[in-house]
Amino acid sequence: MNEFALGFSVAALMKGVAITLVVTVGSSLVAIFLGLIVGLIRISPRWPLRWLAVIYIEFFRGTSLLVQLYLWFFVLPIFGIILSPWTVAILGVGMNVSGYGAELVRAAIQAVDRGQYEASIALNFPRIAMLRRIVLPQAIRSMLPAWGNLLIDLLKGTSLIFFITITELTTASKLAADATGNYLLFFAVALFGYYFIARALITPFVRWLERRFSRGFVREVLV
Amino acid sequence: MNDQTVRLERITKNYGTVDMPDNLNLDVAAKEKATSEPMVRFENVAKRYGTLTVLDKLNLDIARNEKVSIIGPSGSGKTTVLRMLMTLERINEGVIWVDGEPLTHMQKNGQMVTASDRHLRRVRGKIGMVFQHFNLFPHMTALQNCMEAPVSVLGLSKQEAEARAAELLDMVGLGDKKSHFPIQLSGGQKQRVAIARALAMRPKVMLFDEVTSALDPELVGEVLNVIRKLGAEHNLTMLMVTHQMGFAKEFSDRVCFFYGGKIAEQGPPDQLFSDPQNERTRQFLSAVLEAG
Amino acid sequence: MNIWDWSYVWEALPYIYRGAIVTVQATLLGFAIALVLGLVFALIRQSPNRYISTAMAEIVEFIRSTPLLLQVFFVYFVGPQFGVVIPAWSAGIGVLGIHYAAYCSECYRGGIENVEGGQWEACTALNLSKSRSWRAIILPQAIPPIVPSLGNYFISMFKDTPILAAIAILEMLQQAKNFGANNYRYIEAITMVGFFYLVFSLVASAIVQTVGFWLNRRYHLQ
Repeated sequence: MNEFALGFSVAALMKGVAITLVVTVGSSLVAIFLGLIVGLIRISPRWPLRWLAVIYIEFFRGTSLLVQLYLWFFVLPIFGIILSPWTVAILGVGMNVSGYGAELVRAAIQAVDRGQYEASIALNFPRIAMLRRIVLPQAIRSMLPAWGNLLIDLLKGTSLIFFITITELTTASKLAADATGNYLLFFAVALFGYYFIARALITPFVRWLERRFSRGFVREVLV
Repeated sequence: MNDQTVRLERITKNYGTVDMPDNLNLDVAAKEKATSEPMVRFENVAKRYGTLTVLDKLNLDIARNEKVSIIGPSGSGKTTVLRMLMTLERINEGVIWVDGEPLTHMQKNGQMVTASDRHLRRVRGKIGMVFQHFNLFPHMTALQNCMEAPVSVLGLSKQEAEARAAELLDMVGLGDKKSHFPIQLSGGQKQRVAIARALAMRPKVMLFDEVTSALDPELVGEVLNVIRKLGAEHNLTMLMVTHQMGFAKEFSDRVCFFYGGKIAEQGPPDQLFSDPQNERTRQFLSAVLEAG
Repeated sequence: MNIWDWSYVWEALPYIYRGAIVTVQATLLGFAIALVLGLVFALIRQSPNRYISTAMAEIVEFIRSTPLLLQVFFVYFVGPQFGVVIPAWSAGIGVLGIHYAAYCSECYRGGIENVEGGQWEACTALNLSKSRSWRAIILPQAIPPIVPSLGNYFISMFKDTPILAAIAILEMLQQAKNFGANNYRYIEAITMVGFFYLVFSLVASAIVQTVGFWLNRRYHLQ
């Protein structure tokens, strides 16, 4: 194998890893932010708001991620909205996942013990304070494990920006493999790259969050 | 003294009679009742779930500082009375008055209309409640549990709220457990934190909903002692649903026996327990005392 | 220029129809593989040999945390490097099946582990053979409760089929995109595909819920 091509390909692959990480972090933030907001709107006492949230959730969960990326990338320009591939990647993947995230938020909030709501009413909490101080801290803790899985799905979803011309890890490995002819090497490296990001970065990060949020939920040794 | 009374005495003894309230409260209650309006008034209140009538035309006045126990078989609507007063349940008919004001309604241009959120929250602020299953906030320490509502509802500063919470936790005998999370406390300790938490809102009326039912028998006494102390030292109107007949007899000014969504019989505990007039009351009491 | 032109809709329909057939075939075949292979994975996972069960768990974990697209590339392109040519269709469906087998195996595992321990003890007490116990006692109790989650993976797989376009399989979305590229009109074709996916997902999840409810009733599990 040509050494120049190999060195060049390795550099391209590293760049692909960096891009995948940036897109993953960016769209995770979008997904978490929008998921939380839409999930809260989904349980609003006003039905028009609730229905808007249902439409949002069903649209993003019901149509395929790739269809959504194509909509943003090929269809929006018809309306004069031209988004850069980066915007499409981060917002597109993030919004798709936020549909699933919103359902996690809704389910976790509704799973909080009824007694907690009753105690909050008895203590005269306004609805917002009750959500912010009592319900959400408990709901967040119980939905974190599911978010861990969702963020790994998101990481895998970023591979689809292959189709909209951003050279992230999957694209980079394909280009490198095409250039050198060594498909086994580059695809295997890329596969382990994703595995590493998922299991060595995302999973431990979510575990750490779980520990931070479990104050009071697990019996701790007393000083 | 008949058999029942003997058994009652024994039950009372089992849980101790520390800090027995003196008769002062009764006198005060009696005087105030004569001079002012009741603290809580249920006026023709009805509650239905679909076609099932849980409470039927309830009329009940509770005077300032009066201690009322509600007893009765399960399904008799006794817990519903407290839950309606705490606005955890909607009422289908009638009006509930608290401290001279309608609770679920308000007067507007001389007419009674459904209460606005603001009105509801202002009147509700006079009521505190302690639950059977504690409902402590699991992610907060005992101290934080007692501080949260005073800070975010009453707008107290952190320091004021902390001082108030600490004082109350001392009062319920948990001064050394301030930084414990609920999971680190026993059932009795949890329930005492819940009492302190409710008191931190300075309510005028306290509701106790079967507060000892979820406790192991050996932990019942410590909770009842706190309630006795409250009754003796504070000007509180108390309304409690209880299965502790001994405690109801010793502590309350009045006992209401609920049956089938109605008050079947009510009166001073001595009379109701030793000489019940209603056949249902007699059956209920003998069944309860039989079980010990 | 109109924003929405119905004439393009009629023109695009035959293409999308051809693509839809490919999409449905791929999903059905892929899911059949996933159901069977997933059960095999789950049973291997239950192996009393700790090394075998751990290895299986790791493989499942690996498949679940890497992208389907990259797995498709791997199977399709690595073979020819060593002289083994795998047709795109087989590679695509095979990888779809294996990928979702990993997810299904976790479902099966959940179902199996939810069967009461007492059932195994009863099988032993009745002297049933190992395979008989699995077939007659454990699996009939383990599977009906997990039908809804298996159904949800069926829907997910359907939505993942556009990935096959990367190895030149002309499924629904790729047909729409090609149509768009040829006519310089993307909006009708891509919106229609999105609409079909949405309708399919909503109808399918309603069916999944009904079937799950019915199955649990049928087997007296709820």
